[in-house]
This record gives sequence, C-alpha cells and structure tokens, in this order.
Amino acid sequence: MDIQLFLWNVFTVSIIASVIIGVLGVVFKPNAVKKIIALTIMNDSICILIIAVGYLHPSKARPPVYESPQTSSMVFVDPLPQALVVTAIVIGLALTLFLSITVLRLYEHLGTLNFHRALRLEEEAREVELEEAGED
Amino acid sequence: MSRHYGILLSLALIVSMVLLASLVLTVNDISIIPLQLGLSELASRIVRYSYCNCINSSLSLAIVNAILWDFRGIDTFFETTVLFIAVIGGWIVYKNVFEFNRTSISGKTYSLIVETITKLSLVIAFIVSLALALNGHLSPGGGFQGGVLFSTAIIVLIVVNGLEWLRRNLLPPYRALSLRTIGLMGIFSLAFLPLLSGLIHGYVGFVFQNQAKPPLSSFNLYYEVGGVRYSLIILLYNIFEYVAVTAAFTLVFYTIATIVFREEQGVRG
Repeated sequence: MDIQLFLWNVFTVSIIASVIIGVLGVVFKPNAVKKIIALTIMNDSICILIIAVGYLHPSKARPPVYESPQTSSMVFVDPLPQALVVTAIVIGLALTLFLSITVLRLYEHLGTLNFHRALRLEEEAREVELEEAGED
Repeated sequence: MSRHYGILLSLALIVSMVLLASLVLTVNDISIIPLQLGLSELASRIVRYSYCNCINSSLSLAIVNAILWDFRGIDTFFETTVLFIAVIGGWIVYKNVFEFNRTSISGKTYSLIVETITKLSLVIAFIVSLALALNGHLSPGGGFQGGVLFSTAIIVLIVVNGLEWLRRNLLPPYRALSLRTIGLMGIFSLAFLPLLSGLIHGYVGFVFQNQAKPPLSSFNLYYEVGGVRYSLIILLYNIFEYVAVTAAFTLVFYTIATIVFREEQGVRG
C-alpha cells in the first residue's frame, strides 16, 4: 500500500466529508447563526478542494511566484485555482457579512434566532389577525 | 453528559468512515483528485505569459496577481462589486444607527499607554499593508490582502480608542463610503484605458485586456528598473483595490462595532 496515496486520499475524503457536514448543517440546524457557520465551513472546504485540484506532487510544488525575471524553471503549482479561490474568498466574505447583519436585524425584530420559532411566531400573529377579522 | 457522549460517538464515526473510505480507495489504487506531476497546458501558458521578454506578457512576477488583474480582470472587478454591494446592504440595514451613536459613545476605557501604542501600530500597519499592496505584481500579496491587513489595525483602534476617535480624526463613515466609491471607479476607469489608448493611437483596444495582442492591440503599460520591465497597470489596480477594500472594511467595522456598543448599552431597535 502506498502510504503517500493513502494520506492524499485521507486529505481529499476529509475535505469532502466537511463539505457534506456543511451542507447538513445548513439544511438541518434551525439556529440562524449555526446555519451561517455551516455555510462558512462549506465555503472554506470547497476552497481547499479547488486548491487541491491544482496542487502538484510535493517534490515539485513551488509557490506561483517568479523569484527573479531571469528564472528559467517554469514548474510552479497551478496558479489558476488559487486566483479562483481569492475570488471565492471575497464572495464568501461578502455573503457572510450580509447574512450576519441581516440575522442580527432579524434577532432585534423577533427576539429569536431559531427559524422554527420565528415561523411559529408569524403563524400565531396571522391567527390573531384572522380572529380579529372574524370578530369584526 | 449523554449529549457529550453522542458528540464524541458521531465524531469517532465520521473519522473512522473517512479513514475506511480512503483505505478502500488506496487499496484499489484510486485517488479522487489526481496528484499531478506536471502542469497542464493552460497552466503552463499562464505561467509563461505572466512574465517573459515577449511582447504579449503581463510583466508581473506574481502569477496569481497577473491572473487576477490581467487574464480575468472582469471577474475580479465584479467580485469587488459584490463586496461593495454587501457592505452597502449591511450599512443600509443599520443606517439609522450612526445618527444614534453620535452623542452617546465616548469609548474611553483603556490607559493612555495602550491608546498611544495602538495609534503608533496603526502607522506601522499602514506601511506594511502599503508595501504588500504596492509589491503585488512582484511578490505574493496584492491590494485585497493589504487592505485586509490595514483594516485589522483599524479593528484594534476601534476597540481601544473607540468609535468616536476614529470618526473624528481618521475616517468618518460617509468619507469611507466615498473613498470606497473612488477606489471602485478607479478600477472601472482603468479597465477602459486600453480602449481609450487604442482610440487615440489608432489601434484596436480591448476592455480589461492589458497585455498586447500582437496583430490588433499594442497596449502594454510598463515601467523599467535597470532594464527589467515591470507591469504598471497591475500596480495601479492594486492601489485602487487597496483603497476600496480598506474603506469597505472600515465601513463594515463601523456597522458591527455600533451594533456591539448598542447591545452593551441595552438598546433595542
């Protein structure tokens, strides 16, 4: 058994597992903050997955920067996934920022972060409205 | 107690499943992501045209920055725009907060030594982040990274010296917003520079395509140090991105810090 291949497989499989954990967290956690945390976990795991696609064999991996203009060797880690991930990090940041501020505002209005409870509050309010309409 | 055992059990289950799956894959000689030995054709082309003595080179030693601002500059522009929209959105949600805080927060809680050292470290952080942004085309880093570094110093400043000091002496929120817009407009107008230069000098220029396209466009902006050419346009993009990101994060920290201070005072909106 190739130990290097085994470790590489452990790395990739655990990234995929954390992506799945992120998806499950977004779907099943009722708490809004935990949903955001799960979304961040998913985002970062996918970023690492993209970086791993462009990674070279450790004996040849070098950061994608020319040390001087006269460098003759052209073997670097694939720079394209890294540039993609820089974009993805900024987009993820923007998303997390906007979601967290929206959730804070929601908390100030409803007094709860739990989506189930928030929906129940809304239903109760609607029932009260219907009753009032019936009385009139 | 049983809840803790449940968490531990599920953690052990996940770890063992990961190990088992990778063991099965290894025994069958499969890797989900192949560990490559050489660069692909596309990647080697990108590496070659990032810096070479040929005419259609991006003239940037840092390959990632060459990709970000040259090979796919439109993507980076829209990424910056998305961050801008998120910041504006967050700011609008809490817009009324700024007026509320104008009188109430003094923020004088730390000693004079800590405050002075924070101000000094702000200067040091500014120099380091500026170096990171200005060397973006030569070494790892760039405008976004430099801006983020400087804005971390601004976080410490907000915590130690208070929001009111930042508002009065350095960067009020409205000025941060206009600085942000100036940075974004700078990037936007730089993108049209090849087109404009083509119109003036009589060749075909392309938006956001900063390297020469030999039969059509001969636009290539550079400066020389000791006979070695470096990219000027990536430097300019990095400066504008630095301004934009710093202002954006300052605005974000204004929003978040005012929320935190308001929570401390026990005010509900």
